[in-house]
Amino acid sequence: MKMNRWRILSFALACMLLFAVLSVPVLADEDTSWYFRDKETLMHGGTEYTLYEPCFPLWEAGSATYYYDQALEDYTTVYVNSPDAVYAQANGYLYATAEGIRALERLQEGEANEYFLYSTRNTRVKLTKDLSEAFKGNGEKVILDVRDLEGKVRYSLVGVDAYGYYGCAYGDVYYLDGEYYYIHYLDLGNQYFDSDGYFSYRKGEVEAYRLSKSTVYGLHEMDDNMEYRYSEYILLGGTNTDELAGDIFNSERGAFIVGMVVFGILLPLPLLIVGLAFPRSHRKGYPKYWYILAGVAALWMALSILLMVIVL
Amino acid sequence: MTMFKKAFKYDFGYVYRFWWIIVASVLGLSLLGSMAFRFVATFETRTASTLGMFLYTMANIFMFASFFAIAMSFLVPQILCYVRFYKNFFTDEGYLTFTLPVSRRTLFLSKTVNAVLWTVLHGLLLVVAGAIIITVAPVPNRGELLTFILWEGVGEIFSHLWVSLGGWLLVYILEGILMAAAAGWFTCALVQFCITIGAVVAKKHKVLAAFGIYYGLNTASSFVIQFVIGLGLIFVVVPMFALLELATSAVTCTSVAILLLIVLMGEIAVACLFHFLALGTLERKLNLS
Repeated sequence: MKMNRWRILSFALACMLLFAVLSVPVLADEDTSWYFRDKETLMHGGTEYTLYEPCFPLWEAGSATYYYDQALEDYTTVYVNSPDAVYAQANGYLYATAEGIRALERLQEGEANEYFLYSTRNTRVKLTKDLSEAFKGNGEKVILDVRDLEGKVRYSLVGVDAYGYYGCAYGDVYYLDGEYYYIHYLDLGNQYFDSDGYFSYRKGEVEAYRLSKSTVYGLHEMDDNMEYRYSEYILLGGTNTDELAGDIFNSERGAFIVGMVVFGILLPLPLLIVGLAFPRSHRKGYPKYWYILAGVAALWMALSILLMVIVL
Repeated sequence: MTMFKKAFKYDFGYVYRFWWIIVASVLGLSLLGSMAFRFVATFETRTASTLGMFLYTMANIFMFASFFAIAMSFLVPQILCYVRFYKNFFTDEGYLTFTLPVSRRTLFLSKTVNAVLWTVLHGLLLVVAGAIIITVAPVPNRGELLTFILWEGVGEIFSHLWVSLGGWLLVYILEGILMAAAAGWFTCALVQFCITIGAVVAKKHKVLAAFGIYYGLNTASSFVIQFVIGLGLIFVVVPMFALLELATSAVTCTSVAILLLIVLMGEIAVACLFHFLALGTLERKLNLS
């Protein structure tokens, strides 16, 4: 058969197209979107997160980084502690994998991985051991009216889970009439807590431990060593809003550029022109102090350009 | 500069002779008003007698009246400055004023600086009054006259800000003060411009004309400023913080400082515009006859 150049070309084109079609499964992205399989199950790829309702309120334990992504169906924001996390928050509820649930249940039963002392000023210090026994052992046992304790918390003894993201307050140190008292929540019955699991200050009496002077001194020393807690939020890549990806006004970068051009360059431009033109106007003969206006407008524009360079 | 100092001395003294009365009144009202507030907060209305309820009612009225008077006291030095401005330039006094060996530009600048300075001073006075109120008003634990509970909160806020921002906090405070002064200058320049235009345009009822022009310009400028602030927040501030989410604190703090400087430049530019427009009108079109 005579080899025709057009046949060779057609064969080469067919090979290229076949290659492209065959490579699609390789190039296809793994589905990493979030979705609710049912009311109590959140799915992410192949990972299953089950709704977890704690008995006692959980704290965000400390300095943590939260990654957030947007689920497909209704743009609900999901917060996770790492891209392959065991916990996820959505719609104000906590979801956890099987490992996460085991860690939270141990935490709620009093078996924390780490212990911290938290103040009411969003600071905390890590403890070398659980101090609840020390507080109880070094203190005189007293009975207090719970109504007197409301608003008097100074420190909280918090246990943190195995992954370091959630904590549970095992007890609080109250400051009342010049003395410090410790109440250990794990020793108390359900009647001392409200329906949300918080200590109730409505009525009743509770057993507390008056801390000794040496313990109080130690508390103040720990207070001096406390560090601030803060959380940062980082957007995970891959939102499902692909149809908006090309729209400049829906990206922060585009909006910032438009905003700075309008408010940093276009807005002062008339003032710059007026400030430069008025003194030069031979007919009107405006005084030279109008150059001050031009100088201020120029400085305004220069600062705006500098800000754009720094931010972008 | 010498003539400016002399002109400024008389302008400053004109307000000062009334201001010490205002200071005494504001400080006295803040003390009495906060004590009335404490009385109202601790009074048991359920078990009170008729006389007690009468005192409670009077204390309520006095408390609101005193806090309202303290807030309104801000207008007094402003009005004094603008009255002097109008009388010196646009009444028969103007014949004397403009025969002095001082340029109109210097006289105008002296009155502007005087108005801005009194704005800042009175602002500081209101801060002191506020400090008295938050020291006296809170109910103490052991019956002492003064409590510092709210000061602890203020201290915690500042210490938290200092830990977060470090020296940048001082930069932001300085920029805030400059922005407040620039805002005062803009207000002053707008009022002076309206008074000048009113005096030039209207042959009779100059004050009424000035009020009308001020009302119109103030309404229009308020609308424009709110529009600019709203769009600025949406298109500049919010995207900027989103873009700086992963940046270091040094870059973020520097960017915020530059943004505040840009706002300051904007305030100064608009204040300059009205100041120069008013000055130009005063120099070219004023006819006291």
